[in-house]
Amino acid sequence: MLRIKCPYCGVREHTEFTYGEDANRSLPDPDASLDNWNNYVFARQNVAGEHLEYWQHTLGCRAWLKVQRDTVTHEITWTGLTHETPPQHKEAST
Amino acid sequence: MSGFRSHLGRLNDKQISFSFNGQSLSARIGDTVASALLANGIEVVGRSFKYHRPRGVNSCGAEESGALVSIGIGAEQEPNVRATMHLVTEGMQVSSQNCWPSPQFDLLAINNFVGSLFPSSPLAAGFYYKTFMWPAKFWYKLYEPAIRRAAGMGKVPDQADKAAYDRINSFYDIAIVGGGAAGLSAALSAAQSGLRVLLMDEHAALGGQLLHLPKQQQDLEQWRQNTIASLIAADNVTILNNTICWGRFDGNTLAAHEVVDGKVRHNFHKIHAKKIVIATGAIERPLVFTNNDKPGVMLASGARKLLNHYGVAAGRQMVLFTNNDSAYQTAFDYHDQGLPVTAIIDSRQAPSEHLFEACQERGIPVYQNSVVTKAKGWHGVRSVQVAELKGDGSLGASHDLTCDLVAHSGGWSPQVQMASHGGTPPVYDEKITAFVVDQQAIDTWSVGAAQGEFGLQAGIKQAMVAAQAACQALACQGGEVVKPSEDIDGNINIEPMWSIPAPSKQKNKQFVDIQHDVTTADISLSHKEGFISVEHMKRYTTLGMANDQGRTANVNALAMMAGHLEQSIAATGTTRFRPPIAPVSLGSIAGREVGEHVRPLRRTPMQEWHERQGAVFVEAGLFRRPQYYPIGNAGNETLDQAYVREAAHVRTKVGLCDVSSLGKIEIVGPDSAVFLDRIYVNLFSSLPVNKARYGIMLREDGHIYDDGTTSRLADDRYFMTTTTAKAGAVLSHLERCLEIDWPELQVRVSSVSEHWAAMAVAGPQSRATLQLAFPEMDFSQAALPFMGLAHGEYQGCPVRILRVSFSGELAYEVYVQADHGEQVWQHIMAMGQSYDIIPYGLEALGTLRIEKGHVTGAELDGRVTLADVNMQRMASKKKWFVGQKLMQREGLQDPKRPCLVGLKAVDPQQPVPTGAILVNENKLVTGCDKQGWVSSMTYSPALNSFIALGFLTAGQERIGETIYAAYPLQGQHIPVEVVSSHFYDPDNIRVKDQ
Repeated sequence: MLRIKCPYCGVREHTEFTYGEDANRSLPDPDASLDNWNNYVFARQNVAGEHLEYWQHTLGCRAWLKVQRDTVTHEITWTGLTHETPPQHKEAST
Repeated sequence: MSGFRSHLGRLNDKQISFSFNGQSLSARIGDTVASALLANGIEVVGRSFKYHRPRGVNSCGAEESGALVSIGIGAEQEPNVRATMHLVTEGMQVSSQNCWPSPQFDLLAINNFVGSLFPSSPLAAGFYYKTFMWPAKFWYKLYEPAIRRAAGMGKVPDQADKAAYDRINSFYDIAIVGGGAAGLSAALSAAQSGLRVLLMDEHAALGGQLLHLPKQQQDLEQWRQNTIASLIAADNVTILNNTICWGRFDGNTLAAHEVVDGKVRHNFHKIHAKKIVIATGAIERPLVFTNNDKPGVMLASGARKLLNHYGVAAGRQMVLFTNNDSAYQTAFDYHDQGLPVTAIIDSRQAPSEHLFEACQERGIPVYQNSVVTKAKGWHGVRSVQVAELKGDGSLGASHDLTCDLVAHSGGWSPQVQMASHGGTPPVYDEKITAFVVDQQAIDTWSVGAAQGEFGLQAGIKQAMVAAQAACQALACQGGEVVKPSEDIDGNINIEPMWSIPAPSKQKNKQFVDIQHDVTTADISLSHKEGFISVEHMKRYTTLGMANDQGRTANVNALAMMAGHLEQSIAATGTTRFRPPIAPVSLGSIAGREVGEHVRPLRRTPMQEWHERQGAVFVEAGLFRRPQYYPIGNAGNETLDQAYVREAAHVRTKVGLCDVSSLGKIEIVGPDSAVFLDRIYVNLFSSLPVNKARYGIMLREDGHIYDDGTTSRLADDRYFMTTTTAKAGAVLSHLERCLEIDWPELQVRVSSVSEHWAAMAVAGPQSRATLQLAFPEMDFSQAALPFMGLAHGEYQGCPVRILRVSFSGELAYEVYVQADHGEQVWQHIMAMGQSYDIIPYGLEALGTLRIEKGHVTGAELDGRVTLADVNMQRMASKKKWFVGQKLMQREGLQDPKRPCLVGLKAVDPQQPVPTGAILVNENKLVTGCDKQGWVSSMTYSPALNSFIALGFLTAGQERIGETIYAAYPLQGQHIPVEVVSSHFYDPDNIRVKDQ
């Protein structure tokens, strides 16, 4: 029952959105080692606290969004476009 | 006969009638079922869950653990309604639960005595884990049905519920839970800010414990009425009564259940509030003595509200039993109404001086340092045994006192559930001997008795301050609340009295959780058996798990546990509170989404034609696709006959199949070719315009994600098809890749699934049929070879025709704008008539593709790799694609992995069930090795045999072997021959070279 602010559509019910994935990873080089790819696909920090993740506004404008959510309280403190970064985000990237 | 109507209370004198177990009774508008039953002298309302002991009304609120009734009959019936929470309406039919033939005489009451015959009661805590263990085969046939008959909480109606339920979403600035003095004050203060305010209360009348007071206490009654009037007058305030807020969730969301009982039975409110004030009050705790469950034993606050609000005397002669000051007012109110009070039994040294004097003035004897040890009487209470409490805690001399009402009070427990939801644990407060939540959750204020502040004026002030803070946080200003001039002292001078010694060595039941029949003995037993965590004790004894959710039982049980563990209550802790805190009808959660409205139905453009044709449908995701088209009257042709006929017809003549449910995605932009090369394992940049190619895409982890045919419409434009099931997921995947991984690619993807009707024309006569249907187009082998794309039109409407084949015959897929789907379908059917065209359904489609060895979702189930379906050669070595690297993981390269094979029943007429396990042994033996499984099966008219596709360990090396498909559920063990998965026309001659 979270409310998520889509940068295009405004504040909407979370049921319009679909959780995507951890937003702290970036696609390895195609020639990267199997280990690198393995980490990219399977390894997660699993943070308790502020966390950046991708959501899609599936039942809205279909944009993929970046969402900063506290995994303990579920509080959403920032939403933006995929190339944006929230101010003062401290989470370490994988 | 015990209770009776003594005066009007706050109700008006308008009479209505209702029935109880068929007996016609009268009530007043505003009566609850509980007050109306007591007004009619009904003492025994039902029987208890486990022991079938007589039970009656024992409170006046949500904590009711005795009077559970069924409302209505037949499809209208609603079981397990707390009589104290449900208003009587004209003509309402109320009936007892858990008794046969009547609550007065219940044959299963034998359960109550069984306990005393055995040293360890067979119905004690955990009995169902221990008693019915052996022999195992008796469980289903004997024990379980018998237990089900005997126990339970009322009966589930045997007809579908015809009542309507609604779900309501609403938004408020400030939501206030609870309409007692604190809630009213918070609402009044917040109302003056102009913000949108919601006030909810579980009862019909607002006022909370102010309703326990006599109407004659004018100052407080006037304050209550004025406050409510101001709130009703305020446009920005919404009041929901009969509405229990049952959960507080993330994002300041509240869930509430409103009893409407009109055209709609219940409303489910999902409330988004910027700020929340919790003013849920406190409820009185019982004292635990022998037979404290008997009808006539009632919480003092309940007896008081019954008298003062409903005008119902809960009995004709009261004994009050308390360990604190608050309950004295109940005795005084009954006495002042002319109802005799035999005595007040106080477990403390002495009550406060002014109460002692008030008792003397009224001539009510007070027994200090004394306890009620036992309630006596057959059905209801007729006397109590009172004993002196000695300094060492043992009992002194005892004697009996006559009464039919025992009003009792063991103190007050703040209702902390709402404050605690979301994970804030309640902590024990020694001063009030109860749990409170000392940490306020974000955007939330807990006030008044819910926060352990029992004083009236102090609670009002706390609520006002909270409301003002909430308003301020929303940049508005809350108003002042004028307090009443009278006060109610919050200090109740409680001295805890957790357990009262049993009066004799006989096994006497002292109930802690009345509704679930959990006794002090059960708590002792769970301790003896090693359940030292409160969470375990709760589950073992089922304490607090009935629909009163342990409101009266929890604190007493924890205190008893603490006693057994010889530690403090604070150290023992409490169980975690989780929503819902009150019974919620499943109907209200479903709302209007029942029956055919459970899910939306997707219709293809040709749906109505299929319906007119008498097609039998099968669910495929949200679609209902034609499974087969029976010929003749319905029922003349079976599914098995129909699909074999349809499939054979396609192989010899021509058939038409609706494939509109396929996902369709248009991919546009200068980088489209680069994009598709990364998405698919095979190359699409090399695909010429007006050509199609079968493609497979993988997940990042190297497993197959989806497959389909993608054609190139122009250099920068592709038309992708996906499977029906994965249409939505594949679109999201493409969008994800473009936005997150490769934002630099100039590509746009859009779903065009709804824009195009799609139909497969398959069979040797498909070319002739289409040539007749679209005479301007050239369907010759040279003009439109296999995997070619041609554009045409039908009556001005653009048509795309792809020469692809899922059936293994010469075949085409015709795409046309959805609006014209049925028109073009009918046109093809008409033109095909001379070639004997038939429509064919999903079942025949399956037969044709299995004969051909094509895979679908049954094979591509998310666990298989390219190599598993023998398509490793499709992966391009010239480029990178999603999943390329992890596809090479050691485990996925294992040659022993099960891979796709064909299976042919050795006895051609023997079906090979889908889901069967492939084994080497000719009979099922313990320890035999699973070699694989059967994924799809059909009868093949082309081979005159049952055939199947399956996955078999190192299957490609085992062609020609005979193995077994084991299906132990049906005792089947079927010999099958391992063959190539391409059963029919393995060289694709029929598809390509015509």
